[in-house]
Amino acid sequence: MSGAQIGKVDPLVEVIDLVRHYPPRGAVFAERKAVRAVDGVDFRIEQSRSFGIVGESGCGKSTLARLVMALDRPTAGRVMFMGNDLFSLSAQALRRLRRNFQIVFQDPQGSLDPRHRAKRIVGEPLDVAAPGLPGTERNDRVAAMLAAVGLRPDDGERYPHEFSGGQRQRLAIARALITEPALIVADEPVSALDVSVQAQVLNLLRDLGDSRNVTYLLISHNLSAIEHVAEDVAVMYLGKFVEMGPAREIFAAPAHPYTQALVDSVPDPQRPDRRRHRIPEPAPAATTGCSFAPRCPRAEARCRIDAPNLRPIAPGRHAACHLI
Amino acid sequence: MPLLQIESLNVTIVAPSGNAHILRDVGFKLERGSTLGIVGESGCGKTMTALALMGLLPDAATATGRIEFEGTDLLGQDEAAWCRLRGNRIAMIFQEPASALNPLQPIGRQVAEGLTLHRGLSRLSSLAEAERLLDRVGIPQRHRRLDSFPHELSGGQRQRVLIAMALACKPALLIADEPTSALDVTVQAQILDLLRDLVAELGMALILISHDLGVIGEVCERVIVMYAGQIVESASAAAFFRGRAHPYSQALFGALPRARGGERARLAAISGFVPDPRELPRGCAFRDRCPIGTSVCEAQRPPTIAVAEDHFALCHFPSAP
Amino acid sequence: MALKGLRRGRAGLAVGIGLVLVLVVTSVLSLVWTPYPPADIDIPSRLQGPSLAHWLGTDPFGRDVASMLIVGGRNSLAIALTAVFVGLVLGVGLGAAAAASGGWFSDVIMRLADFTFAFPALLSAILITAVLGPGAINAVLAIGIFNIPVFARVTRGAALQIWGRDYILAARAAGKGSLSITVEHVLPNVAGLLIVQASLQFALAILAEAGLSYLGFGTQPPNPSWGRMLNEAQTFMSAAPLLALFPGFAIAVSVLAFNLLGDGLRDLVDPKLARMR
Repeated sequence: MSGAQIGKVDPLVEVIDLVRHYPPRGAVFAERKAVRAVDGVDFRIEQSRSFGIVGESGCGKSTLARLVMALDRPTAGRVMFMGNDLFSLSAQALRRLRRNFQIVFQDPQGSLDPRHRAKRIVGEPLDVAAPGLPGTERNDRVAAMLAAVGLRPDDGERYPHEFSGGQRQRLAIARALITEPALIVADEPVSALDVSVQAQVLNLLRDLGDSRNVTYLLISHNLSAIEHVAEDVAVMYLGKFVEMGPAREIFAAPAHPYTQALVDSVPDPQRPDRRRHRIPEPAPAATTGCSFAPRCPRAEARCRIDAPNLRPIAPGRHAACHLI
Repeated sequence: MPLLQIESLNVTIVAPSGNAHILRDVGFKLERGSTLGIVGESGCGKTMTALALMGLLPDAATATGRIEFEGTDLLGQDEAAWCRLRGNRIAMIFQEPASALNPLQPIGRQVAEGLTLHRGLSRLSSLAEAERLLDRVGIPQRHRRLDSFPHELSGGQRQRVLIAMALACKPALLIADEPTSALDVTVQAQILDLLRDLVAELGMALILISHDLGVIGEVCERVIVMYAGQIVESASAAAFFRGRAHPYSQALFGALPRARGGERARLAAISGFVPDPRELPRGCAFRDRCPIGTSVCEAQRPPTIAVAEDHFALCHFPSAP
Repeated sequence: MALKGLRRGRAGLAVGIGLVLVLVVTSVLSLVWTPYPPADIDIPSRLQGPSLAHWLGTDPFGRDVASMLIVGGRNSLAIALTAVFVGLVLGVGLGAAAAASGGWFSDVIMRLADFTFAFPALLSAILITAVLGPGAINAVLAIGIFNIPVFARVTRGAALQIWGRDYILAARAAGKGSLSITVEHVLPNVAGLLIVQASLQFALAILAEAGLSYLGFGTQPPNPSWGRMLNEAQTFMSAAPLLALFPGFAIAVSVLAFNLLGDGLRDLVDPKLARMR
């Protein structure tokens, strides 16, 4: 089984200089540049150290998630998963490897086929991972998985619309877990849920991560959700990582001005009267220099000329800023 | 006399599958120039409360009770009276700024529309006023700003345009339903700043509806927590954030993950689900999910108890704050 | 307003279903029973008006008009059904394949569809039957060919939307290939739309069959058909106007029936309308 390989391979995921540009659209009438959704990203995910990517809409984090899942092809760069270069594998080999990395999407409604019953949805990855599995064994595994995510066995007979939002996300998590993957990419898994349900799902993710030896790549705009699940975090801004390191340290003492603004902008019900620093609204990236410079409260002349690279600033921590 | 006084407002949606009790015995007061936050999860009735205030309840809904605004009862008044009120004395902004703007009309005309409708301004003077309003809400000056279309603006700017539209007639009450939920946090912070400044500057009252306690805490002087169509707790924001009396409010507070570099505790998730508004339990609606629920809670409707001065909870056993 | 419109839509659907049922039941019934054998010539009782013996009268050869209408309807339905089925199977296959593959294959399919669309369907059907020779099977082919691009387009458009859903991504992430995704996820989710389109195409096919038969390219004698009944009635327009009226009415009502059915189903299936409700 896949379990044997998992222990040996380290790191679990290695992303090397990954780039994804989208060709310009509507180029007939207006001269437009390619969209640099992911623009040179490097990171490693170690076994059992869940990795979070935080950033605002349009920063490229969902594109990055799809690249890591090999659901999209990069313009350049590599994604190594358990020692395999995902984009040089044959289609057949990639399909066989897929049981080891699965995905959970933001919108639980949209990620479940409305015409399939829950048991078929949850069991779907087994069609590929274990095609010869006898029906009864398959049913047992689906039932066990439903129980593991806190659903009843007879819930398997119901259709997605008969579940609440939180239950649907549980179904999606069950589907992702049924092939016993080593990695689950969770793209905004709780953003569409109510606060109390968010807490249930975050707890569930953490518990399952511990009990089933699953490492997460958690993508979110919600810093708190990231910190609750991930050990390491990267902050993404317009296709690039601007800061990376242990989640707890970064949120306690953010180094990059963008991370500071992000942490500062989250309203804290326990400290409602705190005065916060503001940054201007999103602006298009400058063509030269640091892409955050147009919004940066501390930008200097050199920030508009030289683009800073991600470099070590303290043990385990990296930031891309001239001023640190 | 308060600006707005709601008394025992009940909204029921009649349907073949059973009558859904959407709002149950909702009542609160709002003084001129004050800010109120309504917090709760989806389906708790917070948006319905806003729609009732705007006279925009769905056709199948029947409302009873009193909504007294500037001395007149709004319930039961005719559509023409609502039209004079809406966008004029009471204005509303919504969660999704993209869909609340007409994509085919320049923003100048959209902001000016309310001015010509309610204040009878000429086209030219309404456009001049629109220009001033766009300045006030912080849409950057640029060439032919009034002629720009919604798709040329960012999400935050669109929400600013909607706020400008809402302010056009200097309403006495602004209702903001999840105004920042579709926005990025850095943008959200700015929109909240804007709302807070406008309230102080124009002396209008604000009802801010949000699922996010943090957002409410940033802006509001008073907090109402809703659950299953009822107000379960009501207090000044200061008192509320010091200590919650209702178990649901406590749970909501405990369920928030906090990114503050502290110890990663398990989140206090609330188990179970919100009851179906068509089949509400006999006693307390929160009973099945409540950590301290007893047989009393199951049998009897909870009373509204004052746990401190001006701090109320709908609970048999509220915590002392 | 919307509510009234909706009720009207439902009523239309009910009427459509009712009329289609009447058509289907009489057609099936005609396999075992008709008032008279439709091809029986009875010159002495020619050109009678409606009576108890002959409900809708008789034609210049003394054949029973009611029986001819019923059997003609059956022939129309059979040809339309086969033609739409041919168009549906090939069109859905091509459209689904185009949506699944994208790229040049999709472009080629869609340009071919555009090309076929550029010809007036009925005229081209006449051309095809003129070349292949008249007859029911060739009529099926001629009508069926022009149903292919319609279904191909509808299927591709709807399938492309489904391909954008997260559950497709999830299936891909599970390692599923395009074919099994198309069969398991895409087609079941576009089926409703296809049923709607099929009933609208059915109405058009009935009309096309009547047109071809009117011109003598469709159903051949002695099989009765509405189109030829219309044609034969032309000579006797002044003497027996009812002879033209009955088949004309039958064509109009069945086209209406399938259109009502299609529109009504569309209201039920279309998610946008469903949300407004």
